[in-house]
Amino acid sequence: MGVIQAILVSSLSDTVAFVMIALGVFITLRVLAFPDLTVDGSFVTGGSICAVLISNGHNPFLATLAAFGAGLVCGVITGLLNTWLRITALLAGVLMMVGLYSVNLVIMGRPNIPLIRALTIFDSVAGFFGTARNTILIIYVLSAVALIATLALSWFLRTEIGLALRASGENEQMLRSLGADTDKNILIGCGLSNGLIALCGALVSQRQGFCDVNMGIGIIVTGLACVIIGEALFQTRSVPMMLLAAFVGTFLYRLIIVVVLWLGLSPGLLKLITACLVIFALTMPFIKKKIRGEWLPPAARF
Amino acid sequence: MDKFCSVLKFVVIAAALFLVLFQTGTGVCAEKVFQVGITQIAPHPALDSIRNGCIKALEEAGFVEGKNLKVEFINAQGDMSLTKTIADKFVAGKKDVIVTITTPSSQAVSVATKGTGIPVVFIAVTSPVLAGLVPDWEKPCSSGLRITGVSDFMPIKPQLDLIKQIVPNAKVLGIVCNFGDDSNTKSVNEMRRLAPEYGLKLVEANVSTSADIQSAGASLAGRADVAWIPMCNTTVTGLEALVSVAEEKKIPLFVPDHESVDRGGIGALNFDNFLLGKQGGKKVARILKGEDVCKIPVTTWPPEALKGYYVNPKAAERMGVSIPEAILKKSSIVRK
Repeated sequence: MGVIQAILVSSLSDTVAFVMIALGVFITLRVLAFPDLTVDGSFVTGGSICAVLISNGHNPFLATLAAFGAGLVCGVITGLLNTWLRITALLAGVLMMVGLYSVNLVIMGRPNIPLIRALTIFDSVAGFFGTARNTILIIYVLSAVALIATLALSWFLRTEIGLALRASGENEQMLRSLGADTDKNILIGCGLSNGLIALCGALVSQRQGFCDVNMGIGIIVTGLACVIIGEALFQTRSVPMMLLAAFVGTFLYRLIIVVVLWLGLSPGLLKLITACLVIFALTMPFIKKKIRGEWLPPAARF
Repeated sequence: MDKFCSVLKFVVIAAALFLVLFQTGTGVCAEKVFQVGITQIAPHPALDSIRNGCIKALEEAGFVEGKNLKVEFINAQGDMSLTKTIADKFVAGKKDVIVTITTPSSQAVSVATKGTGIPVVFIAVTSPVLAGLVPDWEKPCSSGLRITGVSDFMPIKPQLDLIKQIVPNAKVLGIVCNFGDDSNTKSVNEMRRLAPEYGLKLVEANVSTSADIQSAGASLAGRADVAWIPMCNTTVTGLEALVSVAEEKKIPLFVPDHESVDRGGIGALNFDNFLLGKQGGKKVARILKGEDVCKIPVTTWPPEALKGYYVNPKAAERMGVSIPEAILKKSSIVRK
């Protein structure tokens, strides 16, 4: 396998594994304008529910679905903290993230569950086609899941509920003045977002062969980076294009990581590279305005 | 759209640059050059000396880096999602052997090598059976995995002996570690089992990130007469914070390795990580020479790695105890 091909395969494999984090962050941050940090916790919750069920011999597909359900619950709780108890979005997310660490430890009963010899969805699918588990098969399976999730999301965001969700992110006050229930929208959006992220945690655990209680650290940052990079490339307001942007953003982010590894640079540099990339992506519209001499709005503090 | 084009241009230029960089990297060599990939989860002095020991053992077995051996080392820098990416890179590079240091790296690599036949040698996995790497220390291979390795489980009894000799009146022992890190589970369980035999009660202070160390240490004041940390990466990374609390509150602090004694702990068993790494390296050399990985059992510290104690009398003084002559005789002494 040529170097370029190996790099593309590796980053594609990482992309389809992690893209649902970008989709999840996209729902809360961009559609709902609700900065949700539950992600670092719910990612592991998904992984741990799935790992516990699989290692107890349950069907891996059901285990993965259960992970989605668990994430849904986590997200709804974050939403309730915000809408019922009036805790600000950021704080509600942080509290859930911290609390979920303990919950995940309780779910797993120990900090790390191996899935090395367990029957994962990849092994099931491989068994169905009569082959062994390999990188390409894993990419196919993950792509299929990611594609279904993306198409479903694209459809959902154009249904009546989905439109209400988007409207409540755009202008919550207007929607309220029309008598709509924006609290419900926050619950739906947070639930969906964390469900996708927990699903992603389940898939990632099965792919990497273990679920570890610490594997969620920094997941929110990678999700944000992917969404923002994607946005800088595709400045669009159509739903399918925005979802495509999340895909491309994730791919570029993962490509950079893989290239850094293949070039033999220290992965320690990655955090700096990510930070610079996100700063670049965030400031691009401002630089453009500056060149045109347009008015620059002051930086938001929240 | 013009922005998209300019981004496209940037990507093309980057790709071209990247191609050029790669062309210079490839060379032709007549002798068979063995490819070994080494990965570890995070930078850590103990892990680094394990890695150096491994490379040294390979050298002693006739596999010299730059001659007939090419070692590629990638550190995941603490990012768990990278473990799989690194594993994929090693598998795509068709390494002859992959050496994995620490549990998460070993798990990710073992799954990635499943069915490829690439042998894996893990080092510094405290409990390889619990980690799912091997079903049995004697027969390490299973279901498409070709794996063996070295466990770094540190026996608890000699540590308790040391504690009891230096702080004979201790009644309560405080454990400071990340209870959420699976590599500590076995040591902590052993300590829970054995401490009552030494007349010690336990209190536990959890450290989730190195930012918690200061407050975890302070929480022991008045509750524990002596503090102990297992081979916990989180605590060891920020050890200085715990040392300063221990000195201020006069709680003798016992640490897991001699690097930590250098950094202000009172004492530790003098196990040589370098020799643990060497033991792993010897296994790698046997595999490179053609031995079947599945016939090499998992082992733990070689006897010569246990070299007595490692003590720091000045640190002991700062924490309000003195080290008996009998211990000093059996110890390597740090004067810091």
